[in-house]
Amino acid sequence: MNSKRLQKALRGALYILNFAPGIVLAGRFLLHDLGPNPIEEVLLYSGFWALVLLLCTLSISPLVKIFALGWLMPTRKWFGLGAFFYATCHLLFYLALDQELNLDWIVEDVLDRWFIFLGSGAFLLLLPLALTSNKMMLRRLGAKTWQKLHLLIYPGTFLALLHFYFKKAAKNDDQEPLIYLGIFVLLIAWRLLRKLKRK
Amino acid sequence: MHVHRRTHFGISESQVTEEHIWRARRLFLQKSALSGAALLGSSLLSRHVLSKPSPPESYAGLDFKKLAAKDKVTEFKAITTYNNFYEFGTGKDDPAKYAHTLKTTPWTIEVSGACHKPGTFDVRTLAPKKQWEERIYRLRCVEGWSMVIPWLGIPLAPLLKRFEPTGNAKFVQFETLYRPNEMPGQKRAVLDWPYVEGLRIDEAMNPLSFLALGLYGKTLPNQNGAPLRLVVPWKYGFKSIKSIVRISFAEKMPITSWVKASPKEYGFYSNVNPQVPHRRWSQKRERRIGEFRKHETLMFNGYGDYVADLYQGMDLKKYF
Repeated sequence: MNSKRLQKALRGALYILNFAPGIVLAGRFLLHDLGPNPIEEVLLYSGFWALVLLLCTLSISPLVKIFALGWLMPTRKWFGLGAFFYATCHLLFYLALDQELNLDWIVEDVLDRWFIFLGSGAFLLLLPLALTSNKMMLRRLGAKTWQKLHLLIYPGTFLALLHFYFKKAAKNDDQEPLIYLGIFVLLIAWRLLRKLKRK
Repeated sequence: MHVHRRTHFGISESQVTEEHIWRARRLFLQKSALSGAALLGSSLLSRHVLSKPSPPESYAGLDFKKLAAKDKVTEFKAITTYNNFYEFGTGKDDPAKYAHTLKTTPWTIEVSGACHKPGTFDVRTLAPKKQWEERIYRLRCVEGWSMVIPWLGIPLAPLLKRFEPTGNAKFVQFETLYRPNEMPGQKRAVLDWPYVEGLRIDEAMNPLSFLALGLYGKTLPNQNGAPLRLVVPWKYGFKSIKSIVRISFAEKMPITSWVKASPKEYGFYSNVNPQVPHRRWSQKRERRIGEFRKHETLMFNGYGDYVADLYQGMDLKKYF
């Protein structure tokens, strides 16, 4: 197999990786395999995949630059959109299933609970990125503005990770969020070092 | 995400079907009580309670079967696969996966502190099977979910009285086993092991306070706190300490594990109270496991008639 075809196959696999968790979740729903607290399970599951795919999105350009894997670049957008898809599911599950679309409950929850507030903020920061992800918007905004706007992925991801951290910290269960925060810090550190070297 | 097919809680699938038998028996008892024809059978439980040596005054007229009469009992599978038992991991499914390593025989309980009859006792002599009675209690977790559980066991007060607590015994402290080889969660310092819980002596002597050794008509599965755990249904679930190895009578308020971990979020009393929110969870509502819509959470988890007196004159927002 030539390397072009291998690259194409790998890209296809990464593309499918975005859909796989959703398909698995739908399957588990149909098989009644969501455990004793299905609402909590779909919330945790969608949130988990939003975070993982956000970190995948941020890993693409370091991988491309360190290992000269230019052909990986298109997957960044897919991962970004995948992350946003699961974040939207997460939000909708929260609003509809957990809060039963009760506006009073939701307002109280967002204002009273720090981690819910952070999660809402993360979603609002990521929303414009998903809306401007197509070529038409890129052209309309111009590459410079578009790129500046898309820097929002950093605070967006950071808030999403804090949202997860403060949720888990309530029960002293911070191992998993700290691992993700560690990965995020590495990805940011790599970018900062690269900038410093360039100067 | 993981899909678990294996279960290791020492109960085979064939035993699980006992849930139907258990439910059928419960239905029979309810029906016979209604018809009034089988008074003897239906009063089995109250007879047990009344035949206890010197029961406290407040036992009279307390029908433990009726306490949760309006509630639908949670499925056995949910009760035994959705647990918070950090000694086996922080995931809800960890205890059911890993608790099979815990050896519950032999099991002794060390009683110490302000009492006349301290000592180390075998759990089988402290709470022999023939003394077990059933209590159907609601369990409300601080995380905002709840269950209805048919426990088997013995009331706490008569047991504590056997150790003859002195006038200095203002509190009772309980401790969970510390054995990292059998409790893999203890290898991580999530909490300051061993797990410690406590009650004020009058709370401990309340007729609702219960020591469970079984549920759904059988011996307690390890993940639910075998062989012996506390059940205090008007408090958040974490007060109901599992796999107890030490009981001591203390003059000072014990520093319990969650208070030590986060004193702003967890209090010693931790009574179920919809008016006092937790930083992470609204306590106004709860999701009953097995149901879709949330319930309103009741003050003292609905047991106010039995326990509200204990807190007369106390500011429960301050002593949360």
